[in-house]
Amino acid sequence: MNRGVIRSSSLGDWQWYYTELRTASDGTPTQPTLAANARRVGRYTIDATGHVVAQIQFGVGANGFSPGAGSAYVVKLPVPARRITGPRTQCRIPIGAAMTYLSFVNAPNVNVPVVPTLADPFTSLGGDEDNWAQMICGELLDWGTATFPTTPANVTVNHNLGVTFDPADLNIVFKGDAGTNVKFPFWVTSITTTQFTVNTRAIFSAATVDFDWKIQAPPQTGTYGNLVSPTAPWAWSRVSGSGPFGQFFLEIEYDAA
Amino acid sequence: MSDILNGVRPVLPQSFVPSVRAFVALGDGTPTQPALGSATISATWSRDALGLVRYSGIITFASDTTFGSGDRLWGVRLPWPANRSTNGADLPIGTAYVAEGASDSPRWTQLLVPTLLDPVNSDLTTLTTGAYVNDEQDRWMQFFTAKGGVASGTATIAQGTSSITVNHGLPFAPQAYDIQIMPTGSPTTAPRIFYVNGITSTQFVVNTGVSLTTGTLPFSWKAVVEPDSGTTYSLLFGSKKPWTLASGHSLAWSVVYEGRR
Repeated sequence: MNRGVIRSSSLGDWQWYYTELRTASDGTPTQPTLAANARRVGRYTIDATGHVVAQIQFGVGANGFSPGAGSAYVVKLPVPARRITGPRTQCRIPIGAAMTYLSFVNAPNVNVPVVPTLADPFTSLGGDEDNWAQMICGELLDWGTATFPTTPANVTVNHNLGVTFDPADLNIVFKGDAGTNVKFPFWVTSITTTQFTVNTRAIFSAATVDFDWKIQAPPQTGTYGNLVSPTAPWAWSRVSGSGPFGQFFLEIEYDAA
Repeated sequence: MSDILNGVRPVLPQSFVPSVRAFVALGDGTPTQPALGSATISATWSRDALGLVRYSGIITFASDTTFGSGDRLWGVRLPWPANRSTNGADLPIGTAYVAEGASDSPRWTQLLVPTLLDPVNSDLTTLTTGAYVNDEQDRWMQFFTAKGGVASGTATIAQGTSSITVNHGLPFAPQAYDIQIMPTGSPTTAPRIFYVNGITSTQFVVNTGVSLTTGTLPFSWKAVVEPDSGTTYSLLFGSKKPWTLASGHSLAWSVVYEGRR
């Protein structure tokens, strides 16, 4: 695997193609929108045996990006793949190497290696799954800073993980103290797909206090819980025109149908 | 090298001694280069008739290895220049990892993603006696890290104090949310609160809300941090990313790429 930077060889000449980044689900997903000049690279070679090597890259954010909504991101293959598990079945066998990252501005940069496979037979793909690949990821990330008020002794934090995570997946670090009340231990309650609440034994009273939080969670339950999606491995809504910018890199190979 | 019909002359598997080089960003000055010394190096490469180069190896650093300084990333020399894609420069070309030594506890090990080197041309001009070689980046590979830094340790807030400064050894100032602290004992004095401040590129300070008049507060800490922002090449492996390299640590890779014709 990983033919790297082949330009042209006996495998066959490189051919450029118009790849696409879409969302898929068993319902009606909302499609992402990429700027017309977003970085979009798709090229492939195919040898006499029908073996395909493809390189795919999407760079999003610098010129606008709406992440859409759905169970997974899927990327368009140059030619349909032979699905060795049989038609209309899951075929989560690795077909190469890939990574996703946010970079260039805004703390922190993040990079998560992911594993490309042929796309699941999502309903929204209408039987066209052999023309698409998806990416499996092993962790979900979200992070931020929040502020404890002087009163009350709790604060609700909004998060973008999109799932209800386990409390043990959350790290909270207070960055100061105020007032003489005994605040610790603190605890977490009311975890939902969009929020969690941090509680202390007593109010800070004298001044507000910032704390940092980070969720680093394993993929959640469900058929599509471990796939790269608009909310995995992080909320792609973090991408913006002023940064951070997002990247998808895939180097794959498979047998054509 | 020669073209033979549609292919190239194959190269049978043979050993290769790779060099390691420190690179920086444009206008970033000149890094101090590493010197492998008596590091244990095993590497082999071959090229098939299609021109595909298979290159794998491992470097285990020795006690006389010096790791240089001031680098933003490290590159490992390729045995044969690559036929670079004009797009998608960061496409993965194989698998790699970096690991601490057998005597390290814990023994941090991290997967890396190798790609061809970014075109850090300004720093490559010095590689060939000052002459500018605009394809020099095709002769090196770089490695993407998943985490920008990892470190751990123990410390204790002493009796009669309310803070302890911890030297973290990370390559940059971490975000507070990447620092995990677990108390391993309880002072008689209720600490009121536990918090972190004074985070710098070398230290952070762990505080209690009140001075511990009786007893101490020991704790373990761990920092597994995302790559830094605001620094070019923050996602790339270097002498201090994801940790400060030392004797006994290893860098290993297995990649495939098309060699230049």
